[in-house]
Amino acid sequence: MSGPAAPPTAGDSIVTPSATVSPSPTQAGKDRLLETLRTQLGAALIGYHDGDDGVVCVRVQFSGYRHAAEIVRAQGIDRLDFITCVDWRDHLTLTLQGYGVENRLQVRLSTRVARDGQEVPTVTDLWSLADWEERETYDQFGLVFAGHPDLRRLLNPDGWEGHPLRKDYVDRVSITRPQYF
Amino acid sequence: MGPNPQMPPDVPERAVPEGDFRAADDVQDFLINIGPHHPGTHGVMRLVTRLDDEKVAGLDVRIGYMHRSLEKIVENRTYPQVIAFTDRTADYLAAMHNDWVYCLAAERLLGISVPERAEYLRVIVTEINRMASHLISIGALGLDTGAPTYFLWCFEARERLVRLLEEICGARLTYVYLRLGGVIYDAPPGWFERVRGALRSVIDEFPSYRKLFHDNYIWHERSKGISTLTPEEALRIGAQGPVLRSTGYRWDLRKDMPYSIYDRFDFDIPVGTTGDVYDRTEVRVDEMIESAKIIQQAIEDIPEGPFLADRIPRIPTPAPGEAYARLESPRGEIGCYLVSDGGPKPYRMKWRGASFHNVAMLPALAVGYTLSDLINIVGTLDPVMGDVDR
Amino acid sequence: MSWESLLKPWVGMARGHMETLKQMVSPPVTRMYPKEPAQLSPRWRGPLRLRGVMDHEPPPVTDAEPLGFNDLMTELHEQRRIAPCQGGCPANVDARGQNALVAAGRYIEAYNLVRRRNVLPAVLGYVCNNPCEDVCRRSFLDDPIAIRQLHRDCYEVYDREARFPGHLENLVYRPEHVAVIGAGPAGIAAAYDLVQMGYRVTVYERERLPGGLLVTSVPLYRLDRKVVAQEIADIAELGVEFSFGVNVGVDITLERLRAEHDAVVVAAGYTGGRVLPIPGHEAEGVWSAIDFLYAYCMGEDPKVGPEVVVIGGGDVGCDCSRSALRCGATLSMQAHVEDREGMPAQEVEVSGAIEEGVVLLSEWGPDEILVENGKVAGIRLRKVASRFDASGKWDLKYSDEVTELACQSVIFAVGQRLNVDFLKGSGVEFDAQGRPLCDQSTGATALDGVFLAGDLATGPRTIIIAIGQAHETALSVHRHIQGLPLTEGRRPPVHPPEYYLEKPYAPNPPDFEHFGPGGRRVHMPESNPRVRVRTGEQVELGWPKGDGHREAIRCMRCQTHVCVACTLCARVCPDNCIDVAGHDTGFERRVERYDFMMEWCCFCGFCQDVCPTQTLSLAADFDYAERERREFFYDREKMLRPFDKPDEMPNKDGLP
Repeated sequence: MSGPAAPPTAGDSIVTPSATVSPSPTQAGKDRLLETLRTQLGAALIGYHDGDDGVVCVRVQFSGYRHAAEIVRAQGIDRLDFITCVDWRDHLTLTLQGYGVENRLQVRLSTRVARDGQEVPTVTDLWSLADWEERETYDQFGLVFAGHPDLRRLLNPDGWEGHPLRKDYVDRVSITRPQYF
Repeated sequence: MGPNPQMPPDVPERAVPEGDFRAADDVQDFLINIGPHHPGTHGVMRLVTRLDDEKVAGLDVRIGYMHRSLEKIVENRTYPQVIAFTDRTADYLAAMHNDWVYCLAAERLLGISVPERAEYLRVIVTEINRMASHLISIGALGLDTGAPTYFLWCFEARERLVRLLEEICGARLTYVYLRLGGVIYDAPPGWFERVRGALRSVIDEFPSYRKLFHDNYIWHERSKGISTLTPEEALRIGAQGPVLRSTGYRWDLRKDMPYSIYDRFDFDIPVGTTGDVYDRTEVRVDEMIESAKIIQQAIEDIPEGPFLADRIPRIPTPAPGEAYARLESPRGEIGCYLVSDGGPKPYRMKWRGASFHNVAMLPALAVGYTLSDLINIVGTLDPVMGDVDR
Repeated sequence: MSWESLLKPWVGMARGHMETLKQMVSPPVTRMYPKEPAQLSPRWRGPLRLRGVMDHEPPPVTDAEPLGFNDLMTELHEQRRIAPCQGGCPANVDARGQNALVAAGRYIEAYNLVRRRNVLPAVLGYVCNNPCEDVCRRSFLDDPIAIRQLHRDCYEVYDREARFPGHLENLVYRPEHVAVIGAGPAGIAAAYDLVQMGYRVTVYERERLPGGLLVTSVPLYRLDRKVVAQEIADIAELGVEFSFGVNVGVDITLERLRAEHDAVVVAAGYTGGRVLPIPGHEAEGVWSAIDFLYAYCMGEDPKVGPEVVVIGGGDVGCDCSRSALRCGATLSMQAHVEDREGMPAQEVEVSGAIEEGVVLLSEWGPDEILVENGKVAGIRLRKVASRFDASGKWDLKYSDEVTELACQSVIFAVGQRLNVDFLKGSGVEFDAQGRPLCDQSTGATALDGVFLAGDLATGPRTIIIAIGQAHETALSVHRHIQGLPLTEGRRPPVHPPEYYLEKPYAPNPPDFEHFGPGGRRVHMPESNPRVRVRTGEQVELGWPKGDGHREAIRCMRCQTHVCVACTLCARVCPDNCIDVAGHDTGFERRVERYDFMMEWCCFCGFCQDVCPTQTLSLAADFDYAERERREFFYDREKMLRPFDKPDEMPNKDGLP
């Protein structure tokens, strides 16, 4: 962006999805998404199920993560909720969640990543918000995103030792009182 | 935000060059460091700004100065204890919203259903909290643009709302009012009447505020046409909340993906047209009036009954699984992703803060406008650094 | 550059000057702030404070005569001083007071305190289904207090050391005469209350000995008959007359009873057995549970075959299947339509039955009894397909799967039947199912001077519910005789739900031994299941001396407004700013240390909510300023600091 954009004229480019959506776009969008995932991913698709609150939880092989994210983005999932990791001590689970403003379809995409040495392809070109989310994931879990334009620590200062949200991270300042539970 | 072509990728951590402030290759460009302690950043945030003759040509946002690792703390606390952290470690100006989104996720995970009266009480206190938060937001804009009187007026109006919250839960900012399965206290006698009175007084006084600030020529000059945004562009950069609505895009989770009992209320979603700084403020003002409408309806409809589900274990242990909940906070969408391994503590919590994403898109909004506009743009994003840094 | 853009700043400036001029000529507007003096909300969360700590406190005892008991409970409820166990008990037995007295070594006082409301403490100590333990707040730490077993322990000391029937505190003797029909728990409870009020009471009993279902239905291995006889003998010593072997309706009519007495309390209970009308139910060898247990308990040999099938998964079903083993059955099977977890029987009964060798047939229902020569030869069972419909209502559906079992006896434990023919035609109204109707809160029937008590008023429920109801009926009788209105000006019994709603608690944390004051629950020793089946000895053997004391000391003395160092506050604190140490061994119990780091507190109020004794409160006080940082460390004495205005320091409910 190189200057103030010209303001749109009123009523011209304003999108009002509430007025235009069909009664149940979610089911159709879900069927289409799952069909596309099945046909295009093939063996890289491990499985899917309905999660909490109607979220479509899709589990893919690590090799199919980037492809699955592209499919999900192309199916209208244009709002990114989060990208994060869960440390299961022997591996990490990378989870990405988003939903579509048009079809109200919520998708949670997860894949299994090795704790060390595996570089994850970035999705910053699909969702611009993924930039900081991936930076935060790198910062907290030490997961390297290949192709990220600016992969630096985000919340912790540069030069911080360790990745705090890993389960084996030991903080120097620890709990000083007895933990009852 | 995406890659930032205007910014050299290797900006050092201490980016203020020593000696000569001008970059070597271009005498027109120089770096200005704003923050971390600066009134314009609404907290501890550092903006490394590259200026091209007073216009912002590049912007690097540095955060983390208030990082307390909420997500790590939560891994060492039981499910009910987390509420004490979500409402002060995250967005502390809208603590009810944080508590609620955590409770939504945890209740989903634990399979707890909430009594009707508790849902209504949650709606009422949350909307009061939204109004109080918006009053700070627009008031602080007055402070940024040299209208401290307006700031004080807004604070005085907010005080009346905070009094209501103090009366029902005993705290003014970090209300630990919500519990898993409901709320901890019922409304005291006569509270609903006082809510009505306070709302009426705030809404009735607002024309005079408008006269003081919103209709002011100086404010118009400082806000109209600044940082305009089209709906398509807003969706691309991930705008949310009032910023998205100010572009004319009608999107509000309360209406479009209703949670709790919001589908029972009749209210509008105010939108702007150009998405500039002025519209973002106006959207917030209109939203307060809509919030007042919701509260009025909720007070009329609120049923009698229990306000806390019975048979909630003190130390609940959910089955292994995951749950996500999102809701519309004053600053946009906030979300809470909980993973359980079957133990009494959350195995992992991911907090999706609205301010975090708002600040992430700041370069896309501010580049091309002057340095003094940058302060206004930050103000309209209404960042709460507790929510950004967590 | 257009003219407009050149002109615009000037126009704005002119407008600004006009505004300034207007402001100058108009009088200044001053906003007062704050508009009214600040008033703190009663729920304000200020620095933590203790109302009191345990230090030579007298035991908290809720003791009143029958006439004043509900008034006392209402008063205590208004002060939020009723313990969950007492509120959860249908008869409002003061378990907290019992525990406190036992912890002080005052067993006999504890026994007399329990007898106030639970007229047969030792009997209930054997057979109660202990609703008090379900709501005990100690469950949050580890296990609930063994309240029921403590009743029995108190009795054993009382029996050994001070067999003293108690005395009548109320020395008003009234000439009116009340008849009580039925010497079961409800009848005894009503008679006990009435005799305490000063009335002359005669109890008419069909059997030759008192106790009702306690002697006719409760199996011998669960309840020592000597205890029943002695406890009722104590009550008889107070002046209650018993008339045994009188079958009302046969030996004496209800009209005559009404004419001879000023009021009649009918506490006849559900004494008829029920048999499902499936094919073959009239064969020899088919028993109803009531008849079978009567035969077993009263020493008549029921002569069951070596293989017995019991139908029903309730407590009575377990009683029957376990009793059958003691009557000579070698194989006792219990068929029930519920699954193992959904059985209505108490868990301890089911596990005891399994230990003794009872075979559970889960999700099987009776289909037909196979008869040979008029005798039971077997039973065909049908598998249950589903028990609930889509909306969660009870809707039993059977599948096609059947099985046939060889057996010589079938016992139906599927509910009880009324046996109150003498009430028919007397003026008492009946409902469509043939149950006598009465006012649920008072027990009064349509017939003047006739009251129902116990199971007749409430439907077949537990013994302690029957006793609780009988207390109310006794009050009604008193009001009827004195000519007072039955409900007007009368306080209903208090069962505050808000104290004990947090029913299911967390599972025991694995490493709690370091923290739980008083240790784990003292379990009562039980006899060997293989041996007790043959010898017929008691299942629960009673505690050795001292164990009851160890158990009672674990009580957290809920709602007493003194800190008892239960450490719950330290456990729920998200900031770990509380550290409590209690000293509670032997006969001493006190709070050794209470440390509070004020500067770590986040005023969430979790500790105040969880405090069982309601002693912690976040004081309505907002001056946190101190001269030195170390003064933010509050020790026990500082936690007990007095309030400036104690009248204005209500708790979160706005109550003192």
